[in-house]
Amino acid sequence: MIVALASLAGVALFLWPYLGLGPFPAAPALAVAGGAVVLLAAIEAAARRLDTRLLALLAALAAVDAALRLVLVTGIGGFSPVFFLILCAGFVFGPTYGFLTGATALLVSALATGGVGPWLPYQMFGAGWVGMFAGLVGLRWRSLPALAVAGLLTGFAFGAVLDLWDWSYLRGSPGAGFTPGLSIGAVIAAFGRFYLLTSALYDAFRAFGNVLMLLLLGPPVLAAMHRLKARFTLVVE
Amino acid sequence: MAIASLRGLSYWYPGQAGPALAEVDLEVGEGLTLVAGPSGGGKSSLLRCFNGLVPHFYGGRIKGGGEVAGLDLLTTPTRRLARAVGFVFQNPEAQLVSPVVEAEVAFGLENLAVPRREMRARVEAALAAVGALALRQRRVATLSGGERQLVALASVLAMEPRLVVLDEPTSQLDPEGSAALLAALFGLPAVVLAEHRLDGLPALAARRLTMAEGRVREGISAPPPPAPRRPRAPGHVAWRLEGVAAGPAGPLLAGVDLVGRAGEVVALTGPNGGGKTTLLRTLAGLLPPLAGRVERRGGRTAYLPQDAGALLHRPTIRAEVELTLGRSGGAEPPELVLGELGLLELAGRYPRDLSAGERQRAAIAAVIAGSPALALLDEPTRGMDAMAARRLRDAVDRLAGQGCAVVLATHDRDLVEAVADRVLTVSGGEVR
Repeated sequence: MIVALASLAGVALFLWPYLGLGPFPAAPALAVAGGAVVLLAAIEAAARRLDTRLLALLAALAAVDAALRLVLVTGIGGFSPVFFLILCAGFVFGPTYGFLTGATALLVSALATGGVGPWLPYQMFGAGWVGMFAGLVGLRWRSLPALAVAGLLTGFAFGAVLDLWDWSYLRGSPGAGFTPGLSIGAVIAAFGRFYLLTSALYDAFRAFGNVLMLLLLGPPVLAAMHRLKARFTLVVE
Repeated sequence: MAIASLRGLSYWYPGQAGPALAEVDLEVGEGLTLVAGPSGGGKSSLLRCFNGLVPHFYGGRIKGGGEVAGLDLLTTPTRRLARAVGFVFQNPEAQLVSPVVEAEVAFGLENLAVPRREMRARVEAALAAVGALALRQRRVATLSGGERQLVALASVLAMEPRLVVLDEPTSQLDPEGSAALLAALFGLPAVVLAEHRLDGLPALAARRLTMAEGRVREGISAPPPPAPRRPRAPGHVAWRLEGVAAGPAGPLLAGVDLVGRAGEVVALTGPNGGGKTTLLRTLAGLLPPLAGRVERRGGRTAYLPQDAGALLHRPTIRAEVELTLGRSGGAEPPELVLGELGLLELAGRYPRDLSAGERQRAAIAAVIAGSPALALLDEPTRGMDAMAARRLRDAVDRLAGQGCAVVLATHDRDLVEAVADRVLTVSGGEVR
C-alpha cells in the first residue's frame, strides 16, 4: 500500500518531461528517489513490518549487489548480476521488501562503482519496481518458473522504463522522438520504434541473463532466503 | 528469590514437528545451576530462552511464557534482555568482534555508552575475574580457542549482568583454563551452565538439572562406565616429522622429531596456545614448516579443524558424507559412518539447524568417511555428551583397525585414556 504511494512519486518523476513541464532537475530527482526509499523504510519500520533482522538482511543484500556490480561494472549488454538478488528478495519477502532491496541495491552499488549520475534516481525506481513485481508474482505463484518469467519480463521492462528517461532528451528526432502535442497513440508508436531500434537487443541480454541466473543459482539462494524467512516468523500460541 | 522463571514453556524450531522444549516449568535462583543431558536434548534451547534468542532470533512456534530479572521473555526486545543476561556461546568464534582483547571486552560497554573512565575499570575487573589480564593487549586472532573463551566470558562480565548463561564454555579449555573459568563463575550472583564434561562439577553446583527430549528434571545421573580397551598392532611408519619448526607467525614449535605408525592413535595434550593445533596443521600440510621435513605416506589425509561446523556446506549431512566418499573413491555406503556416529536419524537435516554437538559429529563423519590413511582430529569431543564420545571412540577404533594413523589433540582425559596408544604433551614450544 505504502509502496504504491512511493511508486507514484517515481511515476511522476518519469512522466514529468512528457507533461510539458520540461526536464526534471537532477539533484531534486535524487532527493525524490532517496526520500521515497527512506520514507518507505521508516513507515515499514514504525509498523513493525521491517525489524532489525530484515533491515540487516536488506543491508547485506545491497552490499552483495554492490560487490557483484564491482565485478562487472558495465555489464554484458544490458545484463547485470544485481537483478538476481533483487528478484529473489522480492519473491520471498514480498513487494515492499523487493522495492526496498532494488532501490537500495542500486543506490549502494552506484556509490561503490562511481555510478552516481542524473540517471541514478530513475534506476532506483526502476530496480525497485523489478523487486516489487517479483514480490507480486510471489504472492500469487510460488514456483521457480514463475520467478524466471518475472525475471524475463522485468529484464525488458526495466530497460523500457529507463528509456522513458533518456527518450525525453531525444525530442523531435524524426519518427522516433517525442514532440509535445502528438496524440497518445503516436507517442506510443514513436517510443516503440525508438525502443526496438536502440534497446531491444541490449535488454535481451538482461532478460535472458536474469532467467539463466535464476535457473542456475535460484534454488540454493531461494532456499537460504526461505530458511531466513522461517526464522523471522514467530508464532505465539 | 527467583532470578528467572519459565512457566509451561514449549518451543518448536521452524519447520520442526517435535518440540525442542516441552512444557518446561523452572525457577532459577542464585548460585550455580548446572544443566546436563544428551546432545540435542534441549540444553542449548533452554539456555537461549533466558536472553530471548529463543524465540526472537530463531523464530518458530512458542507456547507458555517466562521472566528474567522482571522482564517478560516474549515481549521484551532482545537488546533489553541482553543487559540483564550475559551469554557465552558454545563457539567463542561466533561472539568475538574486535581485533584486540581490550576492545573486545569494552565492546558491550561502548554500546551502553558507559563513561570512558568507568569502562577502563570494568574492563580491567572483568579480565582479572577470568584470570586473563595478561591477554589485555593481545590480538584476538592470535589467541587459542581456550583463551578466546576466557575473553568471551570477560566481555560478558564487563556488562555486569544479573544472570550469566554459559553453553559448554569449558569444552575446549585445558584443565587449568577450566579451573580458572569455573573459579570465576563462583563469584557471580547467578549462573546457568550447560556442560557435557562434568568431571567434578555436580558436587559444586547449587542445583543440578537434566534436559532430555525437551523436558527438564531435577538431578544428574552418573555417566556410564567406560568399556574395556581393545589391543592394537601398529604397522609401518605413516608419518614423520624431522627437526620441524612451525608456527602461524614465527616459530611456536622448534626441533620436533616424531614418528607415527599406521594403526596407531597418538594423543596430543597440553595447555591452550601450546602448539597442538599448529602441530596438526603442519602434519596436515596446511601450514608449511619453517624448518625441517614433514613426511606422509600416500593416501588421503582427513583433517578435522577446531571450528568443525564451519566445514559443513552441503544441504544435508548425508550429502556431506557422500561428497567425501565421492572424492576419496571409497566404496563404503554413507550409512556406515553415519550409523557409527549415531547420525542416521539426522542424515536428511540441514547441518546448520543442528545442535553444536550434533554438528560436531556430522563434521567428523564428513571428514573420516572413505578410509583415510591419516586422520588428524582437533578437539573431536567438543560439545559431545558421554554417549557421543563413546561413538567417536568406536569410530577411532575402527579407523586404527583399518590401518589409519590417527593423531588427535584434546583436553578430554577420558578420550585419551580410552583410545590413545601414545600421549604427547605439547607445551612451551616442545613436544614430549
